[in-house]
Amino acid sequence: MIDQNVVDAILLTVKLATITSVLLVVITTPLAWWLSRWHHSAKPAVLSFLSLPLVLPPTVLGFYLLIAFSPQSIVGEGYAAVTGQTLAFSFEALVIGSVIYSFPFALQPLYSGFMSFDARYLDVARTMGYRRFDAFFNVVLPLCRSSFAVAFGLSFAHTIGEFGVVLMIGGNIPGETQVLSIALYEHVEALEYTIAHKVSLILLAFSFVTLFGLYWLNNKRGAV
Amino acid sequence: MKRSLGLLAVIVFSLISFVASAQPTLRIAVAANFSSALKQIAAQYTKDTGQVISITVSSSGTLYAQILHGAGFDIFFSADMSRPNALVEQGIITRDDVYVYALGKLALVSSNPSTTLYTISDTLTNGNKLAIANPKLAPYGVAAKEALTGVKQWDNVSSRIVTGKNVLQAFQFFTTGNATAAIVAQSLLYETTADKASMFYAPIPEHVHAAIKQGVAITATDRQYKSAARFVDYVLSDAIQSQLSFMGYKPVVCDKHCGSTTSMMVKQ
Repeated sequence: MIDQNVVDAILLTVKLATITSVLLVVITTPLAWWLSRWHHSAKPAVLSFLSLPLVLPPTVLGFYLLIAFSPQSIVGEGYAAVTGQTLAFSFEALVIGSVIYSFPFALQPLYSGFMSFDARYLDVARTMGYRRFDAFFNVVLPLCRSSFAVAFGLSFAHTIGEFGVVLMIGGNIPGETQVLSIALYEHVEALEYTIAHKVSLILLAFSFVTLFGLYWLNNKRGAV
Repeated sequence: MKRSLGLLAVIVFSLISFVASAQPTLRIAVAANFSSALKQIAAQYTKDTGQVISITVSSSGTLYAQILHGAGFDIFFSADMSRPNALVEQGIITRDDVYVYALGKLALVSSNPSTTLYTISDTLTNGNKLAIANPKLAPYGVAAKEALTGVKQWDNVSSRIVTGKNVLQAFQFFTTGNATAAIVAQSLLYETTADKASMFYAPIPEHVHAAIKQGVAITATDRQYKSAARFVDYVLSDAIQSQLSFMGYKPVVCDKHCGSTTSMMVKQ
C-alpha cells in the first residue's frame, strides 16, 4: 500500500522533528529563563530579533541559509574544512534550518511560562538549602511543565509541517533530505493525487496523535 | 438638486460605458522557465495592440491543478506537453486548443572550465554535487536524466545529484555555489544576472535526449477565446519565433533564417 520512499520520508521526518525539538528545548530553556529575569531597555529589541524567523517567508529564509551554506561563505567554508563535505543538501543542514525556523515556537511558551512563575517558590527552595541548579530542576521544571510540553509540541509540529526551508536547502535526496512534506509536494506536482491524499492523511493522523498524546499527558498530570 | 442628480447620472453612465468598452485583460499562466521570455513578448504585444495582459508565474503542475479547479486563466504556457494534454483528457479543452510553442535546449554549467557532459564524473569528486531539475516534475529534469544516461554517466553520478523543484531552482543551487555543476535550460543562461566569470558553459548535443516540447493551451471561455487565440498566433508567428532562438529556445515555426527542415506550425 505504501512504498518504501514514503516510509523513508516518514522516518526521516520523525528523526528531524525529534532532534530539532530536543535541541530547541535545550537551547531556549536557559535563554528564556535569562530573558524572564532580565530587565533592560534593550529587551524589546532582543525579543523582536529572536522572533524574526516568524516574519520571513520560509523560502526566503531558506534562500539566505543556502547562501550561508555555500563553500564561498564563512559558515560553509568552515564546515567543509572540518568535515570535507558541503553543508547544503545534508541532514545537518536541515537540522540547522529547522532550529532557526522553529526557534520562536520553542522560546515563546517557555518565556511566558517563566514570566508567570512565582519567584517566591525559588526563594523558599533556596532557604531550604537547594543549590541554584537543583532548585531549577526540582522546582521550576515541574511547575512549568506545561510550558515545556507546549514548547516541545509546537517545535515538533512546526518541523513536521516545515516545507519552504527544506525545499530550498535540501536538494530532495531520498533518505537524506526528502522529508514527508517534500515527498508530498512531489506527488501533488506530479499529478499523483491518489498517493498524495494517502500521504496527507498519514501526515495529519501522525501529527494529531503525537500532539494529542503530548497534551493529554500534560493535562492528566496537571489534574493530579 | 435635480441638476446635480442629472450630472451624477451622466458621470455614472459614462464610467459604465468606459469600463464596458475597454478590452478585458488577458490572463496568462506561465511555467517558470518561460516566464521571462513571455514577459518580454507580452510587453511588446501590449505596445502593438493595446491588449492588457496579466501574467501569473508558477510551476506547470500547480497551474494545471488551478485550471482544473476553475482558475480563470485564458492561456496556459506549460513547460511540457503532458499538462496541456491532461487538460484535454479531463475535457476542459479540446485537442485543437493545444500547440507546441517552443523547443527547450539543455545546457551544462560548471564552475570548472574543463567539465563536459562526457567527463562529468571527473568534476564531481570530494562531495561535489550536480544539480538538475526533478525528473519526476520537470521536463528539463527528464531530459537531463536522459542526457546523462545517453552518455553513460548516470550510474556514475546518480549519488551526486541534487534535484530542484524546477530548472530555476537547480540553477540557483549552482549560482549560490552549493552545487559544482548543473544541467539547466539554456534560456536561463541568457537571462541570468549571476556573475558569469566563474560560470563555464558546455553544450549538450541534442541527440542524447528527447526533444523538450513546450505546449500552450487556450483555456479561455467564449468571450475571451478570440483574443486568447490571437495572442497564441502572435507567439507562433515567424517574428516572435525567430526571437525565441535568441532566448535559448529552438523555434517551432520558422522563417527562412531557421533552416528548411523544420515544419510549419507543429500541431500536437
